[in-house]
Amino acid sequence: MNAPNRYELYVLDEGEKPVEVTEDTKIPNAATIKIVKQDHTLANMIRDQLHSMPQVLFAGYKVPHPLHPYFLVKIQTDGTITPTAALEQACTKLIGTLSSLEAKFKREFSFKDVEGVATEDPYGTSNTGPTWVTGRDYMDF
Amino acid sequence: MMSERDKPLVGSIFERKPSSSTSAPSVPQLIGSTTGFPTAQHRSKSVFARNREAEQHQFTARSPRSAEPPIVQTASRMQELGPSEKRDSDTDDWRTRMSEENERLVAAMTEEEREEGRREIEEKFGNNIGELLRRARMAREADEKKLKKAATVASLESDLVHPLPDNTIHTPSVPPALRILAPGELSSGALSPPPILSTSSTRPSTPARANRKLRFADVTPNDVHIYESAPPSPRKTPLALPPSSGDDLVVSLGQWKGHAPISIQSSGSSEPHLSAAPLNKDSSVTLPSLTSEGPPEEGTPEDIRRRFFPSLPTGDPSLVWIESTPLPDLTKPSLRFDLNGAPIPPTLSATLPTHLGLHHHAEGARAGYTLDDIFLLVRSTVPAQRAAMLGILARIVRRLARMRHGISRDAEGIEELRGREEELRKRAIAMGAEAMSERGSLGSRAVEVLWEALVGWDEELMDVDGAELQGDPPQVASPDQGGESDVMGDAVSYLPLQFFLPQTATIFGAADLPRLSLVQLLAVLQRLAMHSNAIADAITNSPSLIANLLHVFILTSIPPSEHAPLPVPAAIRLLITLASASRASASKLLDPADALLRFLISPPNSSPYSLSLATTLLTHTLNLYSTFARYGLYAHIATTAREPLTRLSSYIFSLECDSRPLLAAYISLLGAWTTCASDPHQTTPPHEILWSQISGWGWISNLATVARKLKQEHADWGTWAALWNAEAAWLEGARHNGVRGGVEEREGSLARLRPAFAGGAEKEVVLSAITSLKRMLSEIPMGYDSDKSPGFYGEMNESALVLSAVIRLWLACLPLDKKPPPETPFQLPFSLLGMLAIFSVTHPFLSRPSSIPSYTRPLLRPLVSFIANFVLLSRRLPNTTSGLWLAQLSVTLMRFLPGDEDAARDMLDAIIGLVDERCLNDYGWSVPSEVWSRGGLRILAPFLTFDLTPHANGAGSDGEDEEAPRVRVAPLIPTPHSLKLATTQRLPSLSGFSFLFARDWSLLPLDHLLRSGTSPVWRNLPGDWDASETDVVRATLLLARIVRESMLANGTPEFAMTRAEVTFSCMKVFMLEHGQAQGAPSASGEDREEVFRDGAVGELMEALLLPFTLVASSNGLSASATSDEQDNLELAAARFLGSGTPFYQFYTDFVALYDAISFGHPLFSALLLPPLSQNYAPDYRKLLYDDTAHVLGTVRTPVERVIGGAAGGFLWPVENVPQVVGAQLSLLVGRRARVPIEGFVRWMAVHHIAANVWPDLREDPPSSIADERGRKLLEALVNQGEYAVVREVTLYWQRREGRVVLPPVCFDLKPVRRRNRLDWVRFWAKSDLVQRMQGLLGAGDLE
Repeated sequence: MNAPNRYELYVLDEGEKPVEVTEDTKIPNAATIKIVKQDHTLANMIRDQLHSMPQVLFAGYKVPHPLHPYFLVKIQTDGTITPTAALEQACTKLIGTLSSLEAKFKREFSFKDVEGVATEDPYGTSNTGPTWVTGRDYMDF
Repeated sequence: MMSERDKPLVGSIFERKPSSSTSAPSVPQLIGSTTGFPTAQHRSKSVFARNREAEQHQFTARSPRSAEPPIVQTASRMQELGPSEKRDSDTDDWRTRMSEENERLVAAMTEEEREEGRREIEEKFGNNIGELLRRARMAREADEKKLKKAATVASLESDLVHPLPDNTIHTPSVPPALRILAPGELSSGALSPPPILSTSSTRPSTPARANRKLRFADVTPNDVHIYESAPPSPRKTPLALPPSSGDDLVVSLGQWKGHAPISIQSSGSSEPHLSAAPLNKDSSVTLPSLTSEGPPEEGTPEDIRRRFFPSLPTGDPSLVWIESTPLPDLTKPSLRFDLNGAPIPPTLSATLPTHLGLHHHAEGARAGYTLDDIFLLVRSTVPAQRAAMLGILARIVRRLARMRHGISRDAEGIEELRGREEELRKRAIAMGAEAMSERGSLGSRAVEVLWEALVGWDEELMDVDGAELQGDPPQVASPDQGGESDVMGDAVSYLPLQFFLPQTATIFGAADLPRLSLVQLLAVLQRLAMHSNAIADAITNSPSLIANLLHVFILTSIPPSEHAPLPVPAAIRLLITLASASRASASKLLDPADALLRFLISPPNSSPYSLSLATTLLTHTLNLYSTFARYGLYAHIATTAREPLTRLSSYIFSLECDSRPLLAAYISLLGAWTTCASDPHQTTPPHEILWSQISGWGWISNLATVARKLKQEHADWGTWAALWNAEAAWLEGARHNGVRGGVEEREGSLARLRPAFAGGAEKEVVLSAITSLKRMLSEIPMGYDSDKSPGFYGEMNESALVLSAVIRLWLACLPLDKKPPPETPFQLPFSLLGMLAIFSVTHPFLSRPSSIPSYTRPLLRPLVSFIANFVLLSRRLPNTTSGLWLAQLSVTLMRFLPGDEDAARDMLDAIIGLVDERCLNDYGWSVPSEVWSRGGLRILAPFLTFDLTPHANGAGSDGEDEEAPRVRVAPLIPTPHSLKLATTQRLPSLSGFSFLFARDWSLLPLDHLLRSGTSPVWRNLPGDWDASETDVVRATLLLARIVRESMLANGTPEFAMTRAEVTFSCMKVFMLEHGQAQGAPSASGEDREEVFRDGAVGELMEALLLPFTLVASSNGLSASATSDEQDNLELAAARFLGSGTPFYQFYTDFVALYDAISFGHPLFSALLLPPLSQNYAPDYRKLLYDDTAHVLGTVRTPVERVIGGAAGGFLWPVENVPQVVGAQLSLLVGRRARVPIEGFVRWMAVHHIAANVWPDLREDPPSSIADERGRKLLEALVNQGEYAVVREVTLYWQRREGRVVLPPVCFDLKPVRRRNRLDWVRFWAKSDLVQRMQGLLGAGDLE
């Protein structure tokens, strides 16, 4: 039907900027950041990463329309850093977390070949990292 | 003992065993042939196979056969011999064996023994037994000889035919054709071949043929006897009952004997009948007959079994069908009725002879008919029986109806039918409808049943006009107040209309039922038309029904002859009801209504009919015209029938006419026509009646003379009301149509009215109407009271109508401008009216219209009309401030019912016009100036009045409210505007019948904003409307606030919006952002701002919510757990969300929206909290504490800003859902929210954790489970929590009653309780925990 092409969900258009930042004029230290060609996967991670930062007073995101491949992150900080900087820090930490997760995963996966049978729960137990702030396995959902 | 005499002439037929090969007494068959025809021989059969077959056949053919004819014996003889005794001839070898054995036995016996045996036999069988036996033996031997001879003959013959020794081919079995084809074979034969058509080829001579002989039964003259003409079963006694009464004519058809043991006498036995029967039979019936008692009685099941199923044992389940059907259970007698429909008491029905009268149709031993009998016999094919039963049914239904109405005399004996009335009524209706098309007395009885079940059932309803009767709210039927409980049911809709209406048309067309039945049928139609508008339309649209009806009831001969029937006024009443049902019906009835002109032509005093009949006919006709005129229809009759109308008016206004209904009907007709003439474009077709005509005819000057005729008595009130309404309509019309706004007309009327209201009868009428209305309202302090008589409500109705009319007249005497008049047109008791209006507007009678039976709803309309008119009058009173008037307007708005749309729109316009900058300055409010710069409240008008204005849904509408033609109820008093729009004049009976406006009507525009995609209001906005969303929200909130404040200020707080309604509406303001793509940079050129961030909107919301916070509420800080109806958000939301969407879903979206865009907006976060109250389901708390716990970090609402009725509702009862408690714990120890929670949320978490931990705060009785949970919680808290949190939980205390203890006081425990808690910890905890607790709890000791 009239569903957009699949690739439009992740391929940037010609000349499209992946990230746009709008400072909020009325609320101090607040900004709305539009991130294009991404969805809940990234938005949720960023939001939770932001929540773990003490300088951030508010962090929330929304995907305005399920067929429009972008989301808006709203960040308000306590003024010690700008929202943009907070987002940068959050993203840096997130990349670090994810790469260490990847490394761990690969290592454990290679053990599987060596040891034959993995006796452990392949998803690990709770509190694997800051990604799951709620401290719960995703199986709980 | 069997003797020759007993042998019947014709014995019983019995079946032989089909298995025995010799059983057939027929001609012995040709070998190999079964049909008598030679069988076709197939060559494919091998020689061996043929050999084998031939051998077999030969064997069977030569097997010894019975030579004697089958012995036919009577059944009894068979039984005597025993079923095992068989006389089959294949037992011959057995016999020979037996005789050999016998001979051996006899030979071995001594002479004495032989002699003794002979004597024995002779003793047993008689003297000539020896002779008999010898004969038998000789016969047998002779037979045997014959058989042997025949067998040899047969073999000889066959040898002759088949001389071939191999015996391969039997010639007779060869078909003739084959023989021709095989001549070679023939040539081998010694004999010439038999001719083709010779008998021997088709019916070959057979060996057994020689055996055939005619035989006759051995009949002696004694065997022949003749039965006299006898009952079908000769063994039965011909008379069942002794003719005790001496009534020789009554003969019972038989006596039932089968299961006599379980008759009425054994009614005490608890044994179920069916299981008792076989037992009985086994023990007492079967066994004796087998042994000594001889055969069972003929015709009994046992006899049948023995005769026809001797092989089956007694009590075989497959033989159940031969048992006679068991008697109906007589232990519990069912209700029985006699031919008059009166119940027969059980005692009497058992003793009455069942064979008397028609009662012998009753089954069983009791007299009278049960209901089931009646319903069965109603379908009888015998018309007389059917008619009789319909007659009974009609009387039973009447009795039931009386029982419903609480007439105890008629309820006697049929008490057990209570609760089944509706069901029986439905069945009776079905029966009546089924039989109504029959001719003669059957048809008229059927009509009578229908009449009893439909009209007579609730006859008091036949006078109700102005509402559909169907679909009342179900009421609990209480036995002692049978009067009004579930009055309607839906039995009426049970009638198959598509069948009933054509039948009715046919009956009216043929008109051969008695007149009384026809009139009853007319009443049935009337009742149906009153039931619902749909049925009324069906009646109108039923082909030829109306025409036939008019022919029968209206178009009678003029002048009336001796025998011809007279016209029936009820027929005109039916037309009125049909016309008031819908506009479409009314337009269809216009042509038939022409026939009624015949009653208009001559005034009643010179009419061919009697005076009373002529007056009634005329009154009804005029009322029908009024009904038409309310739609703006048929007004041309005023012109066409002007001459008779003039004659009529002079008669009506003369002293000769003393019929008040006629007078009232005529005056209201004049009023309705005057309204029609006010705006000639509103009639259908337009310009049917003109203002110039009306003024030319001088109706109003005539009305002046009427006033002199009327008195102040109650009987005249209806006429007064009609008179004043007509005059008001005239004056209102004159404002537009008269010269200079109708000044002259007003002055003319005032000159008359002033003195009249100063001291005439008019003044008295008004005063007594006020007192009587007030008195009656005080008599029903709890609202509608079904114990009051219809007359009571009728009087109330009239009082309200009079008051409403007089105020309307007063208002009509004023020019159009809104200012208070320099002087009152005429004197009215204003203060009394004001008090009465306030009294009635708050009266419970008016507060819940959907809870009263639909047929009483029209009673509300005059009251509402009175209140509305009074509010309009109030504006003209000098001492009414704008604030008071605003409150009055808003309150009245909430009392408007369907049909009052015009008045409601006027009032809304008045409210919007009233609230302006100047008015608010009087209040001393500072309102953001943006509100006024963008058009003030005017921008709200399209939203508020949207539901009141009929709007054409264009083709492009998306079908949200496309319920075919929109139903629009005509107002009580027609206005020029309503004429064209009205589609019905009856209040709808829908269950959702309610007021036009709810309490939160002022926030209605928010609903339209939230549904801007689907709400049709956006397509119908005026062209110059260009307000933004924010403007609308600002204006709406301002209006809501003003309306609320004015109501509170003027003493009608029960009409003000409740906490839940305001809270939910503010949630809606936030939810405007839901699904919006706002905030996206450069998404739409302009930066669309979130509505709730607008300064004015925020300010107004704060102001609206302020009175509802815990601090501001009257008992907001009370600690006791309360649940208040007005705090229930789910109820408040149901109206907007509909039944399909739960509030929880809305709340989930609300929380998600907060999570996404709020930036911790304080009001937004405060609105998250109300559903945390313990009065709601735990799902809300689970959602907020657990699923979206991360947002709670930004909810910093302090305790006093929380919206709610009482803090106790949040505190008690203590949370006991483990998931929520767990979430609260992890919130406290900092594992959920990323910043420490504070404010109200922290207080809640601490409270519920502490109350789960400490035994002194727990609510449940002490139990080990609760104790265990408390320990676990404390351990987890102490191990993971920070010091501050642990301290707060440890030292937390709270009250259950009285004033709530707020933080930080509640974190400081008294030393006594500290010690108790420490003791409790010491009792179970490990030492390190005890130490830590001691640090906290023991500190109190030191301080």
